[in-house]
Amino acid sequence: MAATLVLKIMGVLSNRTSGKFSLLDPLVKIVITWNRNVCYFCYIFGILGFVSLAYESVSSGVYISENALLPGLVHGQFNSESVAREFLTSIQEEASRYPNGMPYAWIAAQFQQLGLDVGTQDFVLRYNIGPKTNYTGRNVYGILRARRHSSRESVVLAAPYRPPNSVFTPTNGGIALMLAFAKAFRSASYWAKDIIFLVTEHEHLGMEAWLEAYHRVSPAAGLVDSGDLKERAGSIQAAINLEIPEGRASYIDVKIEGLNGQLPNLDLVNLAHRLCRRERVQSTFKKRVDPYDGTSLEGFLENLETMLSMMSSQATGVPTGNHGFFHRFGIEAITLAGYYEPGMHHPIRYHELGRIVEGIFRSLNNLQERFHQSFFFYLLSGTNRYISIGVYMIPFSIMAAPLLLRAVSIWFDLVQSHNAQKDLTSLNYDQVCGIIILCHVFGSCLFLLPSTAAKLGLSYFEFETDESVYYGFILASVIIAMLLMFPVKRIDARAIRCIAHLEMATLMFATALQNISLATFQAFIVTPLFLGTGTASSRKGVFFKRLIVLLAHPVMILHVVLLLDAYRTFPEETPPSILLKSLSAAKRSVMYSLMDSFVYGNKMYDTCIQFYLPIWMLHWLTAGQ
Amino acid sequence: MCLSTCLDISMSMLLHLRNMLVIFIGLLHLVLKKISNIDLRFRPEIFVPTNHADRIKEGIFLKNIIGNAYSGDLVHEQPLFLLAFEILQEYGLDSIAITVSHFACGILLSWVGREIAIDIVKGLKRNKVSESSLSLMPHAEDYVNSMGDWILKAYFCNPLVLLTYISESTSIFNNICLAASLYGTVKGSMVLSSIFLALAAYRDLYAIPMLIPSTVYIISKKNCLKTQRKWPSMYTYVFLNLTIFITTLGFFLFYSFKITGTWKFLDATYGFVLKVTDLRPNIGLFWYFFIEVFGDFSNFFLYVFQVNTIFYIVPLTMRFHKHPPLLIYAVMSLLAIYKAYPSIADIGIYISLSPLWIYTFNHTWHSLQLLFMFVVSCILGPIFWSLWIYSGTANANFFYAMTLFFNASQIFLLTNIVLGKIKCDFFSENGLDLTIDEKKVSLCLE
Repeated sequence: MAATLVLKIMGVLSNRTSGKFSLLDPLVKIVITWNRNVCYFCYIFGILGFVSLAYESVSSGVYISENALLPGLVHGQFNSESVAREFLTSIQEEASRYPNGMPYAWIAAQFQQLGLDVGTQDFVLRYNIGPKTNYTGRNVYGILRARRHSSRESVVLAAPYRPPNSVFTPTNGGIALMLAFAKAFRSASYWAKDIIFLVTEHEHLGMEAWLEAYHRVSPAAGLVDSGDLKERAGSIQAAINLEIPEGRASYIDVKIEGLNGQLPNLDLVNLAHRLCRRERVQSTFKKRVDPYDGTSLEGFLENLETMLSMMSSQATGVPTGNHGFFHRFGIEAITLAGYYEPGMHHPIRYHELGRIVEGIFRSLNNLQERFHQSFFFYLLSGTNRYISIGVYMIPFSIMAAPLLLRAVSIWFDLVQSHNAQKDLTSLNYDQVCGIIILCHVFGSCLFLLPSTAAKLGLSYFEFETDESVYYGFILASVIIAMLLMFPVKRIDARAIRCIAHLEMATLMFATALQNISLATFQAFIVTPLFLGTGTASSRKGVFFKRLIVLLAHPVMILHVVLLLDAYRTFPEETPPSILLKSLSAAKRSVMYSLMDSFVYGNKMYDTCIQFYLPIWMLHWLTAGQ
Repeated sequence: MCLSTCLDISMSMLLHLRNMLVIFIGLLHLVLKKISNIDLRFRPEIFVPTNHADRIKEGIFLKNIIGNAYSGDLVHEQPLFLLAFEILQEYGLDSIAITVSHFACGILLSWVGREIAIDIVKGLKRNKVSESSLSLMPHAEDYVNSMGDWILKAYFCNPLVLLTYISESTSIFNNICLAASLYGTVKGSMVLSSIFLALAAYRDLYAIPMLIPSTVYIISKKNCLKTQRKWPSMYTYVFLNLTIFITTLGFFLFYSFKITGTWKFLDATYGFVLKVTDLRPNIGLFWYFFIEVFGDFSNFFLYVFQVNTIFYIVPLTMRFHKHPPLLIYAVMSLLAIYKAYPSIADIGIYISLSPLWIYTFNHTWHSLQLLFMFVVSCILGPIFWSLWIYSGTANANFFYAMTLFFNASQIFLLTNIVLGKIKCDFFSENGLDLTIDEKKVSLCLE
């Protein structure tokens, strides 16, 4: 069906011998003559389709695709509740001596006593935005050498260390569990892959530094000086990150979203959930329990909220835990985080946690090859429902199609008017090309902005770095907008708009391949705004069109989204305080996204500067014309 | 005072130049080359085993250390080129040579385009229904005059060309030889054409089939088909052209033999291209197929694939020997698509010549879809590559599908141009307005 449509469109487009189009095909005719209605219909239909993905009969039930995993086949042997508790008290004792640091020596000594190969790694972050400062840290790791293999493959059990004075909940429970696990299984004869026990400092930074050092590459801008590692254990097949609190935990949340919205193989996620279920531990996704009846309306709404929650965290491209950095190296990784909620479930003991981790590692031990069987691109609407790429791409495509359809209709328009003039050169190709290239050059120039703005802001106004970068951005946006306000003579607005639509559509589809959530939100916000641009005859109309385009400016979108978020999180506050809160959040978020881009290699900022902003400029330039 | 006048004059000259955009983009190329720190060394689209600058360094090193550059399986560059690079590198001129070749190639191509445009207009004027054939091209003078600009723009605004340049791929030298040979061809200079073609063929075996269209072009240029004169006849030109080509190529090869002392370099260069032993992914059609095919059949399919590369030249020559511009373009693009190790450098150069066919634009040209196919494959290709190689979330099929799509879009471009040309010819012979039984009809391709 789709193929015939495409062929028909191609046939119609190509049949230009007579100098005019024959709009014979009704489908093509509809698309072109009722373009506006078709576009809005597609948009709304696409949104409805996307929402309906959360419905239980649209999504599918999860299953384990990789046979080698054999989850839960082995009998759990972990029985070291008391050992783990002893480790926990020792850690707490040791941690109280270093309120801001990490007891490296103690952890390394424990690994040493267990007979592991121990290594430490020092890393430095050379921070170059604003005042130059260096942050240092150290990671400690121990490697359990497998008896059945020659250190060519390994799996990682990691935990971030959080000092007592940190703002985050301490994860000493996870470290205690790790040590108890190492003690219980160090002498087991069945390990075919080395196990790396890794304790990192400074949250994301430590993990990034360790992975860079392990693989001897620096995918981001190379701000982290990560040095080299003494011990290695071959290619890492999978990783489990533990964020188990010191105190009680009543459920385990499985976190999956990684850097740039990359997800682990669905098999690994399912494995964790299944083993939790085997140990009768409540496992959740996005801290939400599955609804009892997914087919009911309440169930649907709950599933929808879970899915949207996943999508909003995936869209930011910021990892939800330390596992997110493994994904970039082709390593499947998840975080198991323990949380406590009164009355939800009886507190989980180390006994059960240990058996879950044991089960996961025994399964990973069975792996013959890397995870490849199951999905890498999916959305989850619960712990046991998934939506695969083949399903979610359909509503997404419908949602993003209007820009393409609009571009096609503008193209027809252009070609017809050119044919009427019988003149090929009436379109000023030079001007169109020049403007498009110029806008992209403008956008790329903004790469230099953060460091310049930070320097200027510090020396002239004594602003904080985040403030000066934020104001720098606002200023640059205003300057660019003012520059592009000057009307260019005889500008071919339709051609430029057509190309801008095409580029936006391409950008959305390209994003959808990496990060469907970001692409969906893009399509959701941008499509109606950019569809609203077009020619206007009156002054009022032009002003209105400009207003619409202004709303699509990245800074504007950021503010509106953060305002809504602040309103949602603090519904009891007064409007002025919500406004202030969202403003300060905007300042911080600009800085955070810069940091993510420079230190970790988050692509959000780059994409925005290099592609989205130039497209916006093209629309701003031609607004109303 | 004097300086300001000079500045004034030069500024006004600059402003009066018609291709401000080209100058701007040319400068942008230089700036980008200088400042870009993107690591392109591992891009499969840009680098294939035969054009990697690192391999040349390795070859020079091996040559100096153990005397034989081809002892490993890394170097596939001809001995004379290795020697030339060594001399260039000694004086630190290698980067300058690439820059000069890059810009010279663009300028040569624009001259070539202008000449070809003149020939195309002449060809149209020669046709039977002269007025209607000219109505195909209402602004024939404009077409000729602006063609140089068009081609410069198509060359310098072409991201494929830009990437080739900033990555310092040595295919640029191939392109400059080819462009010089084309220039000789369109000027009717057999010596220039054959010598440069031999140079191109020395470096890249797939330049040899270009001999056919360039000979056809020269013959048509000399007008020996129309006149019934005995001497010099068509065969004289064919013979002369072949002789010059073979002598030059033979000289290069023999000289290579002289400086290396053995004929082993042939196996590392021509043999490597013919046998397709390196199956690392690139944008061509060979690697995936020869990874998948069973070893027993691989020889057979090797013949099939290599013959496929040059096979289309025969029917194309038979059909279009009266339209040598089209023939030369078609052969160039077919070779770039079907060669064993294609890179974007080969594609960039023939795409830059595409504006020649702008007058067929009104007849058949799926322009929007074509543009979109190119854009989509150029964007999705690298994305799928990174998903496959870096994230490990996709696999080889994704990337191969995109290269197939890219090659399909190139074929699509070529068939469109050929079809447009045929239609144009039809109209120029029969007139634009067709009447059957005194009714106006329009022709369309079903």
